[in-house]
Amino acid sequence: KINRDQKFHSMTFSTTLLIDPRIRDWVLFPIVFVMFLVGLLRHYVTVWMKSDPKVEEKNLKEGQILIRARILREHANHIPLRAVTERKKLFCAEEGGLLRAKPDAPNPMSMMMDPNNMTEMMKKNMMMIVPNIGMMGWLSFFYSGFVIAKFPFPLTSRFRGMLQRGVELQTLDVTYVTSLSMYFFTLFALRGVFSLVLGEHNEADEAQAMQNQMGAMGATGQGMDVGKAFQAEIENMELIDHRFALADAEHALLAINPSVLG
Amino acid sequence: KFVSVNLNSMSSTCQTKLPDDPKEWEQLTRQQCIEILREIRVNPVRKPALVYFCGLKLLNESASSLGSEIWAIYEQLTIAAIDTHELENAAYFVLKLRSRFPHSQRVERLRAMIKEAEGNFEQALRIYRKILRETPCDRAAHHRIVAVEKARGNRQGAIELLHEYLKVNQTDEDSYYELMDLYIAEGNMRKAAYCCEELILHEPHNYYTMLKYAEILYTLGGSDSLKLARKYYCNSVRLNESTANIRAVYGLWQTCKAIKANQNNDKENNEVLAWVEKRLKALQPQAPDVAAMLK
Repeated sequence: KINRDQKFHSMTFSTTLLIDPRIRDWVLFPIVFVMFLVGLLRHYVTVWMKSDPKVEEKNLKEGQILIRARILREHANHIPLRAVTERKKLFCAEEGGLLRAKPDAPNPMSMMMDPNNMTEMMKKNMMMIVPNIGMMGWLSFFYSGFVIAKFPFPLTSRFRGMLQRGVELQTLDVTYVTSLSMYFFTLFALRGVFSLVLGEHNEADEAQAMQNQMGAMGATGQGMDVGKAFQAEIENMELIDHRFALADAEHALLAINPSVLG
Repeated sequence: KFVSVNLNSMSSTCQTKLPDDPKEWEQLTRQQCIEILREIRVNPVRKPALVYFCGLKLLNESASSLGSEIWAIYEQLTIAAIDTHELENAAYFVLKLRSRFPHSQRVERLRAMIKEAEGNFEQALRIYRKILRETPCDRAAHHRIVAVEKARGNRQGAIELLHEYLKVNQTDEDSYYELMDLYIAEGNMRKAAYCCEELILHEPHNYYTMLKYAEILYTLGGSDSLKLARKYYCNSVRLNESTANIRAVYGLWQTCKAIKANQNNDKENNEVLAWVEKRLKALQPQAPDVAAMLK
């Protein structure tokens, strides 16, 4: 990225900057090194702070009932009709049927207030926000006002505001970037390094963590509505069309040659 | 560890790699021992003597070069030692595990299992109940308590405990399997059939589950039950035609004979009976005793 030889292939309207090698030594390497260390630290602290997921017995039961109902629907044909009817009654009986139990009305607010969830979310957010803000503050304090590198790929001038914060030159090639933009670039680049060093699913992976958070919000938002899921299962139960899969078991057997062992 | 028949691996893929003959064990290299132990961790089978041998060999020869894998090996060794009744060694392994993982429930469970093996059921139960107070939904602790009651001969108690457990954990296959066995031992075939139906719902193409269900139906007796049993036996044979499943062929034969005793001229039954007799003759080299019963 340091381009002392740039003068041989500069573009028509750009100036080639010769960047002091001391910037490389005292800015570029330290930034990368510190970010790497911060990422490692974040990973180990998150692992250390992780608590086991507490399973609520009631939620567990409701989830299990749904799974069991689904399994019944899928494979009802393999057990006799009498057994299927018995289980349908177990699930859908007006009085005391497993799917008739009224689960608590899902309340997004109560979900947030749930103390376990709160602390988990807080911890996750802390581990993401604090290092980020810390790093950015440190960078802006020490390393603002000059360019440190030239990105090797062409960029449009729309990126100027983002990549050259602090350097108010309209004519400078956008590929010359400040340390802050170097920070963002390295952030994503280090993901690959972390997966090498810490293995897959490491806690230093920010983009992954953000994705997980999005996914988790979506899933819990839906899974909370157990009452509706129970209703849907009751309706599905009515639709079970039992065709005994073993009705022709003897014929299937007779089709096998008894003298040839499988 | 809750030990049950590994429903999925009657013909387990790992059997080809595990040396069963103790005479072969002396020639196992260090790397082979490590791989055997890994294989057993991934596809659990109960081979305590082999695990014990490999584990001890690794510990005695190259403990330091195993790195963090040694803790998994210690756990395996503890269970193998309990199985082979080397309880002092088991206690030693647990001590090492405890020094590394001082607040681990998993280690506590191993400690309790040693107490069970010694016969100190009350102490073992105390440890399991403590685990359950901290994590009320701990599957393994529930299973171990049932195992303790079973070991004490308290089948009714074990059945009740499993019932309570299954009210919440409604899809725990292993528990249904254990409950089915308990009911069969009690002679309550109706309820055993119910449990077996759950197992079939979980694994509709498992020849062994079909076989068990057929046997329960045959024991229940009565013409409807026998006809259903015949269907399930046929299905079991169809799912596993090898000689490993001669049990199903034998069961089918008995069922057909029982049906024939009531209705001599059921054409389908006679066809199946003829098929079975041919099959048993074909199996004669492997199972001469069964074939001899044909006469």
